[in-house]
This record gives sequence, C-alpha cells and structure tokens, in this order.
Amino acid sequence: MEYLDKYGFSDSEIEYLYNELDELDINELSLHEDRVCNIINYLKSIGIKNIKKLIIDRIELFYMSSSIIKKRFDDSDIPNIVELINEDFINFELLDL
Amino acid sequence: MRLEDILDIRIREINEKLKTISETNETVSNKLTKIEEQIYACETLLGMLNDTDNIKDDIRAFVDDSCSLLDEYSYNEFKEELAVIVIAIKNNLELDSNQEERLIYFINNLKNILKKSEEKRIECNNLQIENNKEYSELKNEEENIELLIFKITEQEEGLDEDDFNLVYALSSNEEFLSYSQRKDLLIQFKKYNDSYTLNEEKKSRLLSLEEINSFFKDKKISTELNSKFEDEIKKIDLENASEIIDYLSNQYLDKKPLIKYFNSSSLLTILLYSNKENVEETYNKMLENNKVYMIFFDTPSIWCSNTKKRTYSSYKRKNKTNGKNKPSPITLEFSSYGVTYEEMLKNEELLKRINPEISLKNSEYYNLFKTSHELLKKKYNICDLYGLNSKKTVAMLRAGNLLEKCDLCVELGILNGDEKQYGLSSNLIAYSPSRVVNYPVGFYEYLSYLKQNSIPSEFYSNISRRSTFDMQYIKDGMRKVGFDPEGTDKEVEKVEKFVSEQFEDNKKVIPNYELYESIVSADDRINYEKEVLNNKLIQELENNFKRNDYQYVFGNQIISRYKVLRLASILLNKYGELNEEQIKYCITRGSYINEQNMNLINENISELYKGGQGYGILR
Repeated sequence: MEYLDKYGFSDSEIEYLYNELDELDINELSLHEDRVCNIINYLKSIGIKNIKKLIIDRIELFYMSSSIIKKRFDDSDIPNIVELINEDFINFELLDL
Repeated sequence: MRLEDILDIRIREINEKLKTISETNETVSNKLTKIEEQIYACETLLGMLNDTDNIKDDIRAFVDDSCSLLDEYSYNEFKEELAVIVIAIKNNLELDSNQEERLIYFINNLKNILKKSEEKRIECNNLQIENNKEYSELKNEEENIELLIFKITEQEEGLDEDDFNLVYALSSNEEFLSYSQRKDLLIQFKKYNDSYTLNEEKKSRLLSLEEINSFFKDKKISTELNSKFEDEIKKIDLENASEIIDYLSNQYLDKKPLIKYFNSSSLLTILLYSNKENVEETYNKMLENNKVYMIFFDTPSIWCSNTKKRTYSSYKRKNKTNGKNKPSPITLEFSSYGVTYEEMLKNEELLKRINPEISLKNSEYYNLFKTSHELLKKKYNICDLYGLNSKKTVAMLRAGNLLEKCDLCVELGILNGDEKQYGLSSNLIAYSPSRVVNYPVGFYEYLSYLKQNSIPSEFYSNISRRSTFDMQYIKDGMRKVGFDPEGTDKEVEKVEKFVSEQFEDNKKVIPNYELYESIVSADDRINYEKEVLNNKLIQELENNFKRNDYQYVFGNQIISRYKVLRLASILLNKYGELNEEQIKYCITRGSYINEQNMNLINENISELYKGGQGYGILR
C-alpha cells in the first residue's frame, strides 16, 4: 500500500491503515493498485476530501470498479452530494454505495 | 495407502466421537434442567411446609405445579393431601395425628429427594466438565491432524519433530488403526520427507524476469510484472502456467476468451498457485450453475485448489498462536487462499435473507461476498442475536469486532435499550447501522463519557435527531474534549489518554486480566450456553441486576448481559466454577466505566462472595 504516499499519506498513516484494516482489505488494496488509484483520483477530482479516513470508513468502495462509482455520482447532483459526503461519509448511502 | 488417507481415518473417528459427546451433552443438559426443576419443587414445598406466612399466591396452584415437577416420585398422587395440610397450617387449624404423621413424612421425604437431586446435579455438572474437556482435546487433535494434512497436501514444508510426534502417537494407538496401517503411517512419513527434499531441490531454481516476460510475450499475454511480487513471480512453473493459459484462451464467454476477463494480479495469482484442473473444475461449476459473474474473475482464490481451503482455516487458527509461515496479506499467495466458489454462492444466499435484492451479479458488496462464509455467517448470527437483521443492517456485516461493538452499543443504551422511556433513541444504532463501521475515532469513547455525565433524557435528546445520530452535536462535543473528528492515526493516542483519564482501568481489579483475555480471545462463540444459567452466581446476577434480556444494570451503568453470559460460559468451561475476579472480568471487559460505577460493581460482586444480606451463595 506504499503507493498511497503519492496521495500524501505519511509512513505513519500507511502504518495506521495496516493496523486498522483486516488482512483481506490489505490484500485487496495491495494487489489492485490501479483500481484503487482510479477511484481515489476520481473522488479527489470531484472534491471528496479526507481520503485517508475514507479508506478506513468505507473500504468496500475500493473493492468496486471506478466506473460504477463514477456512474452513481453522474446520476446525482454532484456538488450537493459531494458536500454532504464531505460532512459525513455515511451519506454515500444516498448513492446506494 | 497415502499418509493423508490414513490421517483421514482418524479425522473421521474424531468426528464420530465429537458427535457422540455433543449428543450426550444435550441429554445431560436436559437431565440437568429436570433436576433443577425438581430441586426448585422440593425447595418450594419445603418452604411452604416450614413457613406458611410468606405464601401469598394461590396455594393449590403452587402445590399442583410443584407436585407435577416431582411426578417421578409419585407426588402427583399427593397433591390434594399436601394442599390440605398447607392450607390447614396457614389458617392455624389443628392437624389430626394422621396429618401430623404425613407432614413429618413429607418433610423427610422431600429433604431426601432434595439431597439426591443435589448429588445428581453435581454428577451431571462433573460429567459435563469431563465431556467438555474431552471435546476440546479431540478438537485440538483434529486441528493438529488437519494442519498436518494441509502441510502434506501443499508440499510446502518438510514434516518436523512436532509432526513426527503426532504421527508416532497415532501409530501407537491400536484402537483405530490396523497393524499394517500403523506401519504404513511411519513409512509414508519418511517417504513424504524424502520426496519433499527432492522436489525442493528442483524448485529452488528461480527464473529471471526476462525469461518470464518472454514466456508471456510468446503466449500473447500483456501482463505487467509488478516488481512488488518479483520474489513470488520468479517461482512460476512455466509448464503449469502454460496449461492454464491455453485452457483460459480457448474458453469463450460472450465471444471473448476467458483469459481477457481477469485482471493482472488475479491472473498471476492463478498462474502461480493453481493448475489447469482446478481452473477447469471451477469454470465448469459456474457453467453448471449458470452463474458466471464478473466478481469471480476478480477473486483468484475460487480458481485455486479447494482441498487446501478446508485445511487452511485450521492452519490459520493454529498460526494465531504460533504465527509461523502465514502468507503475508501483501502477497499474491495470500489471495490464492480465502473464499471458495461455493462459499461465495452461500454468501449470496445468506445476504439475500437480509436483502433479497443483493446478488453476485451486481457490483456492490464485493467485500462481503469475498469474506469467508464462516465469518460472514458469524456476523449475520451476531446481528440476529442482537435483533439487527433488517435491510439496513447489511452495512454492519462489514464491521470488525462486531460482537464487541454490539455489546458496547447495548451499554450505551442505543441498542435494545429502555424503549418505553426513550423510544427510538434507545435503539438508535438499529436505525443508523452504518455507524458501527463509519464513525470518527473516539466516537464510542466520547458517547460513553457523555452518557455517564448526563441524565438519560438529556443524553438521548442530544445525540439523536429524527431517529439518527446528531453528528453535528456529537462532533462539536468531541472537539470540546480535544478530539478531531476528522482525524485518523494521531487521534488514537489522544483517545487512549482520554479513556485512561475518564474511565477506570479494570486491569487494576483483575490481576489475571491478560490470562482471561487470552482464553476468551481464543474462543469463537457468539452466544452463551444455557447451562451457565445454572450457576448460582449467575442466578444472583439474573435476580438482582437483570433489566431485560440484553441488560444488567449497576447504578446507572448498563452492562451487556449477553457479554457477561458469553464470557462466563467460556470461563466456566475452562475452570468449572467462577471466582470473584472472573465474574468481575466478565462484567467489565471492554466497558467504559467511571470510578463511581466501578466501585459499585466491585462492592456488589464482593457482597455476593461474602454472603451478605440476600446473597451468601458461595458460603
């Protein structure tokens, strides 16, 4: 998961992920770097903040294809939903995610 | 006969024995329930005959019920006679000489039955302890043999001294193997190690990345060889990989070769850790079931060997304690273990019970489908136990330490709380289940602090808004005590400091805390055994501190009743009895308790052991 440093994750934050996530999640993030990067890039591009916390709170998003996530956002009012999600990640539920 | 086949004979025998023990335990448990009822009936009747002043209910009904429980001793025939005597005594009527005689007879007879029943209860309890001991010894042996079979099947390790000791012990057991099988066992052990050494020599030749790249180029596969996995990739068996590639290239799904559906790391994992037979077998199963979904091409473990899955689960359990040779989660090898195709189908079936719209076909819940069925089922059962299985609670299945979190929510009064007084708020987590996985660092610690420093009505009105958490209020409150609700790693230290300042450290009152922790952590159960309710101390907790099925209450501190009974079941299995320290451990484990409530719990529990007023159960 060291590739996350390009998104500003410090060593201690990556270490924190190793401690907080279970082995299956670590394996998923380690093996699917391309997919994870695509998702992070997309979420950042639409204004989602605090990706570090998002990985811990909503790890299941990173198991999905970025195109599915993108489609869910495209079908919604993006600025509004992004604001709600930045307030509270629980609002991903509004996109059925 | 192969070594693993001989070992399988013992596994089958162990399974038979385990089944018999479980059946015996159930019979004993039923017997114990009957004995408890008889003891209760004797005590009730003796109590009535000794002291009629306290009888307030219908005497006849009481006598009838008690006599019915003593039917084995023909007390059904004495119902009328006993009722007449008790009514006469209660109304200060003089008994005739015959009644006097019968009264003495009943008192002596009931005392005898009581004594015999208590002896039988001890016998049953001892039998259960012995059975449980034998059960766990057999389970342990089964696990060791499964581990050995795993090593043999995988051929990844030579057999060592521990394995030899196990095989030697089995070969000395004349009970279940014939002489020739016992002889074979030792011969096969040696043969295995010889052949293993030979294979290792062959395997030790590592390929260069150039050779591997050229192989993929020849096969027209554009697989990026990530340097992260270089050490693993260099061990590839090109002949085996070639067979898999040829097979996958010649199978078509929607006019596209199957191989095109795999992503790079999944394909590499399969090429490294599977073979053509396993891949073909898995794909055929998909076709037979008419279930070929995209998630399967993203889950390499389902294309790898099935035999190793069964044994790997015990391998993992074993390695929890000795930690040897477990593949790291950042390897391709790790992803070759894990969920099987059958497990994924079972996961789908299970998730459909909560929400019928969930399907392997869709793209959500990938991480739940990829979870081992055993673990997913455990989580499902936890939700069920705490009354949380609704469409919304699927989110909860993602949570780590779900059982502990449910206990904590009960103790916060936001799961199965006092509904009459606080309405939906007393079950807030059920309406907002994502909070079990999706919360700021320090969320539960702050809520525990808030609960202990507010009156209940204030607490509920502050934390909830329209049957969900008022996160704005909670986050503001967290900031006031120095937390950053948006923070991650740096918050952990702050929260730990806060907890040590605001709550009592239960290790102080439980010197053997670490010992109990290791026993409890090694146990997988989610619910308590009903026998635990026969324990006198637990009965006292039930009588004095139970508010409802989910809660014990000490002062204003809620303690999860399921937690206490579950932990008590584990410790009772281990020790046969519960001492003061152990019961305090069961009550306080994982709870956030302030000084005042901790003192109250300690006083109450110590009182039970001292034989104070109303208790005195362990005098």
